[in-house]
Amino acid sequence: MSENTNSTGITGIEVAPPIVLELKCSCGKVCGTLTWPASTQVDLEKAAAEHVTVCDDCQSKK
Amino acid sequence: MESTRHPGGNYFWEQQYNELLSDAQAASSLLAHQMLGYITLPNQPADGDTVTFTINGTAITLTAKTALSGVAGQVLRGGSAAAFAGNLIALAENPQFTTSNGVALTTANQQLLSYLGFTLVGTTLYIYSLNSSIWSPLTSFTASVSTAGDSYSAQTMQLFVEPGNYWLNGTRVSFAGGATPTVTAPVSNPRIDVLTIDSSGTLAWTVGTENASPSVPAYPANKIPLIELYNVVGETALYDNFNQQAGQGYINKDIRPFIQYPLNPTALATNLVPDSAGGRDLGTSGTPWGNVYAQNLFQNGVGVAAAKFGGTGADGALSISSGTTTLNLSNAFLTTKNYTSISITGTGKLAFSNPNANGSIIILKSQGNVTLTSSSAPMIDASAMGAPGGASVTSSSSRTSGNPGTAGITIFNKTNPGNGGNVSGNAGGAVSTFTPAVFSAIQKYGPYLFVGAGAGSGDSVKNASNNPSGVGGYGGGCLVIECGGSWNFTTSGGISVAGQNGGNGSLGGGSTNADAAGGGGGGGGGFFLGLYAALTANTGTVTVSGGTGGTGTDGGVVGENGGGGGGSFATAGNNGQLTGNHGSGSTTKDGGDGATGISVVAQNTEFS
Ligand SMILES: [Zn+2]
Ligand SMILES: [Zn+2]
Repeated sequence: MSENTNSTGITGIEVAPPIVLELKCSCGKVCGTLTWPASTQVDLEKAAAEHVTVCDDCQSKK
Repeated sequence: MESTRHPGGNYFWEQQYNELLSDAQAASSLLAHQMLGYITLPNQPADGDTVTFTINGTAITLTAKTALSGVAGQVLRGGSAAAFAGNLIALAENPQFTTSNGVALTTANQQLLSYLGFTLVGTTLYIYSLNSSIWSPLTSFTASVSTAGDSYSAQTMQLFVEPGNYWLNGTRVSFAGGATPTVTAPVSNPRIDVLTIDSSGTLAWTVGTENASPSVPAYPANKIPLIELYNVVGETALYDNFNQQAGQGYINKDIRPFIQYPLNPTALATNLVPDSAGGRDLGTSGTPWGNVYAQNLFQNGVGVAAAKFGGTGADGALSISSGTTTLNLSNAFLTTKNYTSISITGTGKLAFSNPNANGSIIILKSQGNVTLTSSSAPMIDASAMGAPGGASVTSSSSRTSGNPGTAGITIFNKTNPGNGGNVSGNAGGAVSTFTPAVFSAIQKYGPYLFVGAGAGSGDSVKNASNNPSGVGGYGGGCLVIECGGSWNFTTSGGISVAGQNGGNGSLGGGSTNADAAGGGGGGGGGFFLGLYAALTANTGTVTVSGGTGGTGTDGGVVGENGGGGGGSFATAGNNGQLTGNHGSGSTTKDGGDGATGISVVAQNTEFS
């Protein structure tokens, strides 16, 4: 983990990165994100199943 | 105040005794210490009965007298056992003074008595040594009483606890003083015991585990800890910390809390639990606490934050900048998402699938900002998430009526469906009627929520070919957005709760003049409610239109009936039309249009 700056501006304290779920088309394009604070307990599988994404290109080919 | 140190065997000014008394009162509350034994004096002595203290081999006799005659050691026997006991301890503690209740002892006996301490509890006189490691003049002690039924008992395996007052779990206890239960010496290794007192004033030992290096047992809950006692194998007496003796147990630590254990108002290292479930309040209506800071709040086991405007944020921050992200409603009546923020920008779009059989309510909660600036119109598409329209029909012989749409049912409201195309009437859905279903989770919006009703499908007439009618459109959905932050919505048509357009009727191959198929009606418009805490922009618009009715067609001989449009909350769907005799290939719109829905965007002033 790299050295980050926390919210108080003090360097040298490692800050855990947020949890990010990419809203990704089946072709691989990332169209958006769902983001939680690092301390959250998230069911990422459930969240991914609930938010199904198709990109603009794939949508126009339909 | 703190008095100066007084060596034993000396005389003192009265002022100095007052200092000592003050110290003792402050420090001795619930103090546990060594004892030699106790004299029980439940019976009033007869004139001439004696109490004898034998100190370092010298017998000091105190004699009960009905009247004093100036002989050293006389004690007024008083009017009761308790009165005599009081007179006895007064002389034992102050043997240098002659009073109306007792006659002063000799100087030598005064000195011997100064080696002892006394506490009277009822009519029991507890006697203890004042020896310390630097001054230990007492070498032996015993006592006796001549009064029948009164007695002296040596007891060195108990400790004595001084009187004291304390609060425990809301109960005020006045402890009169008394001896602990008897300690049993350990068998093979040292052991540490914890002495406690409870809300009934009962002293008890929490016995530790024997070990070469014994550890302190956990202090029991809901009791006040008084001392830690270090026991050794073969011990026959328990000593004070400042008077430890080889091979004997001793008080290792005085652990009386200044404030009731375990309550420490600056740093609780334990749970704060009431004595019964639901039985205690935090503050009162007249004297409430100020701010309450907590990571989570629960009411009857349910998270309070779940009911808060803007929601819990449990579903994270939603950000869509391109493409279409679809939330599967899984045919649920109600779908609630708790986002920390919602951002739909660029060409992004949020859509929904699989509405409920009577239409779906979608609540999007956002703790923070809602930014809706995507060029997609709509970028949030809850159109056709209302009640389904009637299915297309294909007649197998002569004329078959179209199917009616489905009613839109929400908490208090029911929107009415369009009728199917029919020779005797193609009515659109009537204005909403009340329905009393109650769903507490969203009761706060309850009276206002509705979905658009489904439209009817057209009818179908068969002569030579199969002629499918137009399907009725779905009603528009019900969409609520709670914005706990700032609302920024700039796209025209950026949100839609529109009803779905009706389908078109069509003639099959080989059709003749007597074939026909009606168009479906359009679904009724749905409901949008946007509530925000703060406003950045609200120049966007919400589409609430009913669906457009579909077209019918025929071969020029028989007419066809379009389906009725779906109804909405405040308006009725349009009727389908009977049209006919167009001639092969021509079409006419005959499905009724759906009713128009409602949109409200406003600052939240109702819900906290
Ligand atoms: Zn794609
Ligand atoms: Zn026609």
